[in-house]
Amino acid sequence: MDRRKFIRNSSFAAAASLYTPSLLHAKNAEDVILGHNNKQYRINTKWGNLDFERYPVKDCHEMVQDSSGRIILLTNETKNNVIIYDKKGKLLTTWGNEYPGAHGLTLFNENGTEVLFICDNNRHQVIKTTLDGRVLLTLDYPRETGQYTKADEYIPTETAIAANGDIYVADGYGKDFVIQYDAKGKYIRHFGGRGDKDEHLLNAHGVCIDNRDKSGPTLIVTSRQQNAFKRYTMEGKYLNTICLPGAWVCRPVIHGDYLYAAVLQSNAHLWQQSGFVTILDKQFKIVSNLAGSAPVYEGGKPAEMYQTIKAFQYPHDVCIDDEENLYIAQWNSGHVYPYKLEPVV
Amino acid sequence: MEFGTCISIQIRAGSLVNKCIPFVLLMIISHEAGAQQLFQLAPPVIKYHAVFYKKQQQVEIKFDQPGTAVYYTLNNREPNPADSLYRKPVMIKGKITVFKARAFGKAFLPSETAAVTFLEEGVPVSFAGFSKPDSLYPGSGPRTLIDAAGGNLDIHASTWLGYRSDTIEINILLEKEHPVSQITLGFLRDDANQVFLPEKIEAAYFNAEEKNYIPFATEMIFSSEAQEGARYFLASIYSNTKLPLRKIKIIINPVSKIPSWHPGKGLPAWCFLDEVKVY
Repeated sequence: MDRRKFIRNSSFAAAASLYTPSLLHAKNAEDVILGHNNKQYRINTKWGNLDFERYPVKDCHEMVQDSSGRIILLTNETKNNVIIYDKKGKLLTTWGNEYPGAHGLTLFNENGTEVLFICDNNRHQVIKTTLDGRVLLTLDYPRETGQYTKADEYIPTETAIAANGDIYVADGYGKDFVIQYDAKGKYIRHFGGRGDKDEHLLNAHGVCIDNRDKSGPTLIVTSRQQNAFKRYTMEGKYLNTICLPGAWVCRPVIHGDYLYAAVLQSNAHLWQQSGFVTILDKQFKIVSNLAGSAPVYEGGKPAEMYQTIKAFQYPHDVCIDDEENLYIAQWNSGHVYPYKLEPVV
Repeated sequence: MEFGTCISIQIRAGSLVNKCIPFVLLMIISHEAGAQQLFQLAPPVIKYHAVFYKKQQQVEIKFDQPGTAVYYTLNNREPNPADSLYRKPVMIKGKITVFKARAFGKAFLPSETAAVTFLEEGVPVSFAGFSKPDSLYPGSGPRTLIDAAGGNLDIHASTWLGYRSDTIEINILLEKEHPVSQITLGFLRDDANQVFLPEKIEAAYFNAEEKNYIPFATEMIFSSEAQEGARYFLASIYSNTKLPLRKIKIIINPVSKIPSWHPGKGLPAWCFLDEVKVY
């Protein structure tokens, strides 16, 4: 053979031996175990996949589970804003065409009947619906606070509903206030907002009620750009800050003793699809980062967290079901459907 | 992805196909295994005080993920497992070092390369005055350009002077007369925040005998394609020979309007700089 063919053939052999051994021994991506300590999971990226032509998604923003065990997904795709699966990932039903800015989704058991609260960024409203989409209540921008001159300034991201039905709305993309209403939608108070004091918020992306303490419920509010959660009394008095250095946390979700949160991105790699999921215990200590760095404390303070495995791009919410499985909805991640993570015992 | 390429080369090799069939089979098998989509590792996090240093600089890597190792190079080459294994902080010395690091692990695809360029501080500068920046990005006092605090990719960092104007003027006074052939400036490129590299940098030095400024060097900068994420950009201008000088005037022409390929085209562009060095 001539010299050129010989060289091409040899370099081929070299290339083959370089590439094949490692990949023949490599694991399936989904054999990888994510997380730390007693909160480790296996990931299934195909769980939520549907026929994109018939049931498209844009940003998958949030998810909840109802008492029938159904997994309810909220997307800002107006062809079907709400997509309902069973735990196996089978599509059950869809509804919703009027929520172009569908962002926040909260489930509440109102005297035995479950209802949903949807925050819409584009409509600048919070909408309460039945589980099949019948509108029960609509909350417009909170004129009563004296902080807003028009609806556009109010971009609610999340709601949390207290046991007595009081509605807390986080204006996470507007003015970062948390507004409290009674169950009928009557304004009670507002707190938070922007500033340089501890009680102020920057990107109040999420809010939840923490019922884990016997002494009474408290509120946990996200201050995403400050990489922190902030705790308040149910009357809006600031208590303390839970620092999560490096983590752009979305909303806190409490299930059992643990607090779970999707982390949109790592401060170390901004706008480079660097998200992960963090889990905190009852003492607000970080115990596991799924696809993120091992939780480390130095002098009682958590070390900066960052993504280590590119399993997620921009995770936006985590839903925990009755079997401790996790479901992750992602924003701006190529229109991916939610992933499911199953606990490894 | 490499697999697809290899197989197509194989097919183009025509008369060698018979001899290479075993290779093809092996490659197809491995392609199938690869098609199960291994996760890629995230790039390691490189931690340092500043990109400029006087004698040496400590660089630390953070990458706490079991089953992985980080390899690094100091010679601008892409790291691989044959290079230095990161075990503890590395000391950087010398005029310019491109520090590159990459994470590897058996169950993962290798990460993208994380890279930081470190520069030794140059000739001692007494004073580096600058034209008034925008009030939103005023820097951190008169020594902003010579405090060796630079390379922070956060636009809100106090290390940055932010401008939205026609020209930026910098006046440098060295501690004493010194032969100089290079001036380096640190800029931010952050398309998402409408911060662009300047179009032109022009420098002149004061000639005491002729009592006027003589051209030192001029450099044009072209930024033609979109870039994801924020990057630190060191722009250097060079004179042909080392010139003995003490006073330098630098005129920077920012991009006047956001380029046409950017969603914000036509709007005023920002220019951010944080350090100036003389060599």
